[in-house]
Amino acid sequence: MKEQQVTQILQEIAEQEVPDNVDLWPAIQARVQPRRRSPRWAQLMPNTRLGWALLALVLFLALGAVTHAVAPVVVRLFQQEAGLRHVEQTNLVQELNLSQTVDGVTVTLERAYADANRIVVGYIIKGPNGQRYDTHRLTLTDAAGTVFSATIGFGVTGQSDILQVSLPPGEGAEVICFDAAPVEGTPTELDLRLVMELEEFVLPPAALEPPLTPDSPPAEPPMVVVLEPLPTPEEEAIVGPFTFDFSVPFIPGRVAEVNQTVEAAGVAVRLKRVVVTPSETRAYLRFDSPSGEAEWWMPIAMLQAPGEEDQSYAGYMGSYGPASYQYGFLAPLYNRRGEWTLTVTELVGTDLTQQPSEDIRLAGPWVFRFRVP
Amino acid sequence: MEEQEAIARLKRGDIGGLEALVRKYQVQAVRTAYLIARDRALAEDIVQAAFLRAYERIGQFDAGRPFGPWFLRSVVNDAVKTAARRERQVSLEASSEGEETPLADLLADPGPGPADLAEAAETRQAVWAALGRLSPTQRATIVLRYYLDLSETEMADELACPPGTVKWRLHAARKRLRMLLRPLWSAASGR
Repeated sequence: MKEQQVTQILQEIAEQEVPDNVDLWPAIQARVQPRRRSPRWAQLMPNTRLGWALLALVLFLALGAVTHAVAPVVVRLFQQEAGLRHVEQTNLVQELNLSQTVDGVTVTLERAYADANRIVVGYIIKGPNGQRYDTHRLTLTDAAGTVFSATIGFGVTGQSDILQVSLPPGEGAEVICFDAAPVEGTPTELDLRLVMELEEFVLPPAALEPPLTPDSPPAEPPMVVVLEPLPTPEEEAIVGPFTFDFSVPFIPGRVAEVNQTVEAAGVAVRLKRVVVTPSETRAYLRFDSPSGEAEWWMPIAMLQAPGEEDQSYAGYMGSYGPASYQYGFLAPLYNRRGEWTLTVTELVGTDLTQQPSEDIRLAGPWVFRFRVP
Repeated sequence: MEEQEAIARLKRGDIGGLEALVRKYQVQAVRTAYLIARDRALAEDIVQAAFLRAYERIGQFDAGRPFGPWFLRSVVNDAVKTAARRERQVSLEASSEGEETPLADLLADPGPGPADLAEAAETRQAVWAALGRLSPTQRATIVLRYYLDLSETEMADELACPPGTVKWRLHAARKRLRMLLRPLWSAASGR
């Protein structure tokens, strides 16, 4: 028996059990969205809180078949998640329609919303000649100079069957959320300034080369190699800044000061408070790292509000200081008063001292029962 | 979508880039994980987790290098760890004494032989059973060498260990497999 036959036996075994049509994408897609990853703009945001940046989300939905949009694309983006869908449907979103054009690129700030948990802006970018531009840097401040950190975002370019839109080349839409926790007091509205810079989206040169086929001749090294200098940040096509000054009504949150500590698996977890707004319910948690090796931890939590026992909500996690975590549930629970339950089912840590790093999981539960006024 | 474009999109947080990479590598990855972990559902879980980890850590990936080996390394490592946890198998170390025998020489006769389907199935079952008695690390070694067709140098890179260690592991895995397949070998020789 030749070595090829050994290989063949292994291939036969594998093919028999794992057919060619195995499709993991639906399951992976479902798991990607709650996990989220920090997008580039979040990493570049000045004054971005570390934990927020680690877990911020950008979903660029450029999938699927073409259909024609009925609602504007930014409205559709707002409707992709339960909390923002609720504020959109209850007409709490402020229409702005402010446009600026710099170097042929037009940004239209279409909509904004603000409550005690998050400030949300939605805008469209239109590049000239079908050229696509993406957000390079985004800064939101108020009249007092307070800087709000970006948390999560949604975006679309091209075609999306989820949103049922088909955008022309060079056009993209984004909805970006900022942490509103720094807002002091309960103002009736916020005076805000959004400053953004864009960068031209350019494929790396290798992506533009024709694909190799089985019939392609083997690549031969050129006789003369001309090295092109790599672009430096100064040479990148940064467009902007685009500056938008606007005001948006502010909706205060209902706050439950919980201050309960529950211990399980040798870890004491403290729920400090819960802030409920029309777009989000946010829990502020604190616990010390159970392992000195794990540099960051993530609580996995479930929320039960009165009348919503069977519901599950998309959430996101951020860190707002040492051993301090905030868990945002993107759900419209503003009118749910009474007894609530927050269950932290497990703590997941990533041991960054290991390569590849490994997850460390501590099973709870840590159960908190509290009253929301 | 080309791999370079998919990686560029993924680095920008665009999950469309991830989908392209999943479509390209999922079958090979699940099969590799299956051969090591020996459980289809487990293999799919391993590969899903590896894709999610790639999604989260794509920033650490050098876009100038091919994605496949970087990704498969993660799959193989996870499959070995998962299998080890499941099997609690301790008999990792086969004796390294004696001459190295190529695996290809172990399984059946050198000629075309009576390759009927029943015998082929029996051979597959014997090989599968023998693989199951190897340690996960040894199984991974065999899978990398004979299923993924990697050289010892590539295996060293994949397993993040020195080439000498790979050579020794391969030798030990082959030798243990030869011992496990001795009945089949004897039957084939006796024909």
